[in-house]
Amino acid sequence: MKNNKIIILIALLLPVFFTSCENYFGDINVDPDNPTAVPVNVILPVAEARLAYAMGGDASRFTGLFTQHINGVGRQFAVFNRYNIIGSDLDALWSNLYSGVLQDSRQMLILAEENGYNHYAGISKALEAYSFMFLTDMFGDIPYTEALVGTSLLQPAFDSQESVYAGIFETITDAKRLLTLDDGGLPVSTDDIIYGGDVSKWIKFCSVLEARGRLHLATKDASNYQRALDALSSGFTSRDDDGRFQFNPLATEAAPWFQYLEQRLDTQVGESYVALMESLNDPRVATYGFPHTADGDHPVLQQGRNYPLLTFTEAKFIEAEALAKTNGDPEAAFEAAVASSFMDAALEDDPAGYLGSLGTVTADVIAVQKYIAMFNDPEAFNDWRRTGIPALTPNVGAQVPTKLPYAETERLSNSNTPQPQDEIFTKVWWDN
Amino acid sequence: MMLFCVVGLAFSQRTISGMVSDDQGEALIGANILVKGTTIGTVTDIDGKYTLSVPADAGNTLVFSYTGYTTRDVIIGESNIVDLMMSEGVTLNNVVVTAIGISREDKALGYAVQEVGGAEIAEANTVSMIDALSGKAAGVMVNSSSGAAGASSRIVLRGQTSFNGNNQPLLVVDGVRVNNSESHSERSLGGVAVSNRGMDINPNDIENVTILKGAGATALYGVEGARGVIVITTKKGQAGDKVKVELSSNVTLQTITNMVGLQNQFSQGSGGQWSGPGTSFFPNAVSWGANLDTLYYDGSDYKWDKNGQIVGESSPDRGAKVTPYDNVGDFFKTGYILNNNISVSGGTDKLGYRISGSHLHQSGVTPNNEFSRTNFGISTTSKLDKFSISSNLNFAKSGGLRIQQGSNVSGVMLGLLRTPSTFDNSNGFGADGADNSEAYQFPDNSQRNYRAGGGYDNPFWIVNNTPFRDNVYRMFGSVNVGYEFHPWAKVGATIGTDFYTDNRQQKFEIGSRAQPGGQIIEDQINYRHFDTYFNLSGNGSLTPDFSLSYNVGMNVYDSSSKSNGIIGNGISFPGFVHVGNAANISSTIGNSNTKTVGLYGVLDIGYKNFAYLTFTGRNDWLSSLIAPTRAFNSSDISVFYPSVSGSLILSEMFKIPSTSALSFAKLRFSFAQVGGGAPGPYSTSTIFTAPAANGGTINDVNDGWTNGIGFPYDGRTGFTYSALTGSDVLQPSKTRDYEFGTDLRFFNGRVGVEATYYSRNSGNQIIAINVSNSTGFQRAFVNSGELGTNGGEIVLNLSPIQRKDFSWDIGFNFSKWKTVVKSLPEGVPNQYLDGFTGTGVYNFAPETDENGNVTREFEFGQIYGGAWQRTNDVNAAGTPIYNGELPYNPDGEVVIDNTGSSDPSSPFYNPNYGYPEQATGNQIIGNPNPDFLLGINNSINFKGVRLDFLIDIKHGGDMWNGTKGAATFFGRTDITEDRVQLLPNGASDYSNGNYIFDGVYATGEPNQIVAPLDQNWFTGNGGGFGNVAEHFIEDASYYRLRYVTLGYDLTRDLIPGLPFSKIGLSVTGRNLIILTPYTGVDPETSLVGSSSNGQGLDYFQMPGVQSYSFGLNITF
Repeated sequence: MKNNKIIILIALLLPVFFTSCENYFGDINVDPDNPTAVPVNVILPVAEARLAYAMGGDASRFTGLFTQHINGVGRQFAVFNRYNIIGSDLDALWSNLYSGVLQDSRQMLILAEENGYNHYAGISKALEAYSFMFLTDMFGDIPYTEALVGTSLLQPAFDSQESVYAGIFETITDAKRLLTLDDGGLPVSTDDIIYGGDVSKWIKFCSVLEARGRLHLATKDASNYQRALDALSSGFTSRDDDGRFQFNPLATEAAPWFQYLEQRLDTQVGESYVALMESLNDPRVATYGFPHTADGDHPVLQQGRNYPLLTFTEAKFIEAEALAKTNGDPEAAFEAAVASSFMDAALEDDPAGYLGSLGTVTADVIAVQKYIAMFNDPEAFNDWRRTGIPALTPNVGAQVPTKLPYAETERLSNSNTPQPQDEIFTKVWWDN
Repeated sequence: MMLFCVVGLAFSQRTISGMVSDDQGEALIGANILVKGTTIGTVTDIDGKYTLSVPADAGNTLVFSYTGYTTRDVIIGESNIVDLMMSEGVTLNNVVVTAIGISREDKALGYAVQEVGGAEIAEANTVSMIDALSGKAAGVMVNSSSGAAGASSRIVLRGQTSFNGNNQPLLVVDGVRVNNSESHSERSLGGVAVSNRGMDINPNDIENVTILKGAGATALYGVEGARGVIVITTKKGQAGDKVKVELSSNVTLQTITNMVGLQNQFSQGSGGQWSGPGTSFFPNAVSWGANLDTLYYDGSDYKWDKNGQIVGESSPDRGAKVTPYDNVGDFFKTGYILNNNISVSGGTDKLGYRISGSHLHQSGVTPNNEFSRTNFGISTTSKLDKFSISSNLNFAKSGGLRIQQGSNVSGVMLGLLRTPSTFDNSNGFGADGADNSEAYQFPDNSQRNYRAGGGYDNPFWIVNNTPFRDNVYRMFGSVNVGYEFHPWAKVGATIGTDFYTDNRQQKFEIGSRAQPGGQIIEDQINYRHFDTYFNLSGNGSLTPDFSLSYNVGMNVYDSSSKSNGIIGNGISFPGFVHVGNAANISSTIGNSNTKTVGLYGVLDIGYKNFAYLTFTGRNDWLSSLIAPTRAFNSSDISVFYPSVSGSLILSEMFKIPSTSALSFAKLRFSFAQVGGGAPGPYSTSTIFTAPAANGGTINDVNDGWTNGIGFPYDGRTGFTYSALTGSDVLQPSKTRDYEFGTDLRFFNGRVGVEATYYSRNSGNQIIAINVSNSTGFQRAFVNSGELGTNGGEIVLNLSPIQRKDFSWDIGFNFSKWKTVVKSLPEGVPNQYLDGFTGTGVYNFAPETDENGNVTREFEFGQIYGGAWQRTNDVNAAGTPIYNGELPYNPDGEVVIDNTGSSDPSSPFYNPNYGYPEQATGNQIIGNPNPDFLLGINNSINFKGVRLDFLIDIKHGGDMWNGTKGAATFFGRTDITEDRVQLLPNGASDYSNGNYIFDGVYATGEPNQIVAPLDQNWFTGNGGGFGNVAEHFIEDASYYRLRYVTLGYDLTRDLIPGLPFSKIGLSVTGRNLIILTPYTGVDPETSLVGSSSNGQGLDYFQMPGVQSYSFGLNITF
């Protein structure tokens, strides 16, 4: 009889297990270390940091090679220097923007719209516009309208650069509109590393960003010069308005160029760039012509760099160029731009003497000065492609690359990805 | 010791003696004689004689047994002398341990099972018991990740069943799971070689290992069954055993084996000019300098070299001629392993016990690299009437001091193989460089290396300044209780646990290239699991012809781990790398919890001892399938796994007489469906996470070149939406497995053949696929994709010589399988497994034609990277040509660039003139899977002298020799020795061209351009930093003498009066011969360690080792 008792006991215990299955497992499959929902203001600092890191790192290095602000001298960068750049070299930049900055901006926007936090919605749109503009400038046609939908749309279509730009300008307009509304109960604060929650500066940022975009499109339609000037009328009014991200002199908060030089040191300042400054007796050669080392004090390469995403210097250069192209007088804007650039280069000397040596302020002179001023700034690659200034001798072969190749990950997982021959020598729409 | 031996005396007894011989009258030495039903017994001596005291109450039947001979029962009559003639025969009733600890007669099994005895494991003399299995069984592939002390080893049974999940078999000790994970503290491509946790098992405690390969054998493990199971049974004492004390001691010496070939003809420098460590970057980073034949030391006082600066022939200061330094030879040393074991086993009348202790200390071939392990084990067995209780408890302490390797600017091999032959890393101290700081640093603490402090760490600096220490304290074991109410009703319970704490500390002194500001990482991993079984079983005969056994039960498996990490960055002063001396401290916490509940049942039916049929079923409920976003429903997390298998003994069925050549014949089959492991915990939801500096995960803020930045940032917390999106509809993968086989034995078992064919499909995979980043994610979990494996195994056992004093046994284990990707999720052409962005290991979906028919399938884990352009079309004449409009063709001929001009002054100058063109995008360039594996085990016994050796063959399988590629860029490999110097303007000198690349022009004509193999070529696509990796893919086949052991046992029977019952002496050599076409380190290597599915990458990991051991084994 003993046997039976045991069997009966087991038979009784099994149902007990099933009925208490849910209790037995409990919350075991809820990740205790990572939340599935967060407030909007903890996403913003990461979105900003990632954007600044991508711009100041990969974006700056690859475009710097093309503009010859820098030379690749070691390992992979010695190879890139010979324009052997392929899609997989751009994987990190592509993912940092799409699945990083743009995704986080989108998550912020969703949360901000749900709660009526207009300022967060506006900033998320500003970051989105900045990122998409960079992407289309570098790569040409990009996923845009079908981007960021998630895994329900695994192969987003590529939109033409023209339509992407149209969308970006709408986003900028919308961002400015949202930023002029009330904060909806949640003011942006110190979680905004770029402006510390100063919404008025974000509005100016949007305006300068629009001006930057208008300038790119002026190759297609000259009326964009005037539109750039219109946008700049609500843009930066001083260097205090600069859109900068503050890196810090700490290993885990160090600027990307500093990290690159400290950890790899495979690049050097471009010889032709230094030669250009020397030929103009340009004092900025002391700053920008500095041999690359992981130097803690260098204004551009330092660990705690205040990285410029969009500056008063650039705004003034845009203004000068647009005025020169629209028969206006570019001189005042140009002088302000160069003076501001000298301050960027940590030079206090009055550039008046220098300016005098440059002669008449033509669009070409402006372009040369902007090229010098925008050291290692990805925007310099756009400028060079637009203006052809300065004339660059290719490191090898007959041409300087005019586009970044699509990321290998995109090519592999999205069959819509265009696959042009000799891709890096093809031209994006506004460059044609 | 003699005191112990008094135990077995009894009062009333009779003494039986006699002689045992074979059918030719030759004495059989060491035949076993046992009083039936007891543990009282003895063995025959050198003359085949024995004497045995039989207690009066012990019964009157003696059981005579001898390996390879038919076991005989003899009833003792009046006479006290029992002589016996034994004849060779086949032992059919071998019992093996199968799934969930169920013992079965192997003739009843419907699937292939192979056993490896403890003696064979001990004889292989490896630190890790996993390594000892290499070549020992068919279907088993073992790969040691490197020769570093404590480095992990990967084991895979019959190919892969999972894209992303674990493909290594479950490890089971005495019926319960033990953890065999490998956790990396840093990015897996760099860091140190860590251990897999199977390393904690003491090989000397292993009685035997049963390898359950197919799903038919493992179906009772349900969701964990697909990847096979390694069932380890530990040594135990049995009630009634005599006290046996065993001591063994082993000394092993190790040296490195294969190494990338280096050139010693050209100096540090660039463009044919010598350059010492200087401030500018390129000239001193590389070895594209002057020919050493033209160089002399000037004997001046020079910071970087004790012999002075290097000058040319014409210099008035020329002194001694420059000779190359042997940096590799100076660096690696002879490592050693000391291994001491003690065990005591025995039994009282009710209780058997075994207590063991073991200590192993290894000093690696890399200076300061250490690994040590201490084990204690206690096991008991007892049987009290109907109760049986056994327990097994193991304590292990393991860990060591590990050295940075791999893709890592602080990696030893990276700095070592890039150092020019004209720079002495040891600064004149030679092999003592590691012990003298003057070798690797200056008085101001700045580092002395060939790039003036930049680039890479001096290897001697690394081994002294970037130590990684780990310390594992672990306890694992189980208790098993059984009670037999009735032969039809036995209840049993087994409760097992495994818990450990793994404390790790990684230091980077200030000035290391990897962490120039200095860094300290303190990690603590706490792991525990419980594995509990309750079951009810019974067996018996229904009718005289039908036998039946059943087993039903429940298994609860509960596993959790918690890791805490503290990272301190910015060390303020040197010499004290400590969290308290760090400017910036961050921490990480990672929890992981899963529970699985399974109900299972087995039904075995036997008919007339020749037909057997087994049905099993298991249902699992998995916590990791619970979606927090949905209401709980137990059917959402429930999966059922059935199996059926059968065995037919034809030789019994048709009563084949034992005198015929065929002595045994069996057919077997099985069909099973098992799971490929539960999804990882928390993969059913998408999370927000805080990015970390140095993290290396897809959510971190970095760019692949740098360490990046982390949060909290400047006092702000920050979260990013994970780039890996979860899925709340995941189900475990399902593996359907068919297996057919036969076991045949001929000539009384002198020849045995086991042949098995299997086919399996692992569908409904859980894959983290790479998705278009423009979706907003990088990776997504999906339930799709299928792997298919077809394979065969042949086990051939031969005993060509079986004489009294000379025997030779040969065992062949041949295995061949192919795991191919049958499908990937819709729209996903490939899936990343591991490696670099340029060259990595991926799975590829089959290629199909326009009708959707499969035209080409790819084996698991292809190497994917830059390739040469190849012809992909034919012209009207049928000549292969290249057509830019058509896709890449892997079978075409390499296209050589003949466009433009080789003249730098020409407007059509083409620096690639005469060199191969690079294909657009990456291509499949290598297949790391071997064609077949063959282990040939030999065991020769001549008058007591044992000679055992294993020939271990892995035929086929590619490896990316990234080490060679990178070292080629630096002008260090021997393929750069036959180099053409550049023209003074830096252009290639075609007038001195020395190589015609094998290939054709795009137009199809064969290449005739004589191109110079020069610095421009090798620092471009000719070297490892170019965009083409194809030319560094090499065949990694090997044919090796895995080990050879020569041993001799002195026994008391041989030398009467010996104070011990046995002294064994042995000499073992491992990896003494390695034949391989691979030109790097020992091709048994893996950059990513044991746990990653992305095998086939070699990038500056530590070299392999060969060893010589001397062993002494004493039994009291």
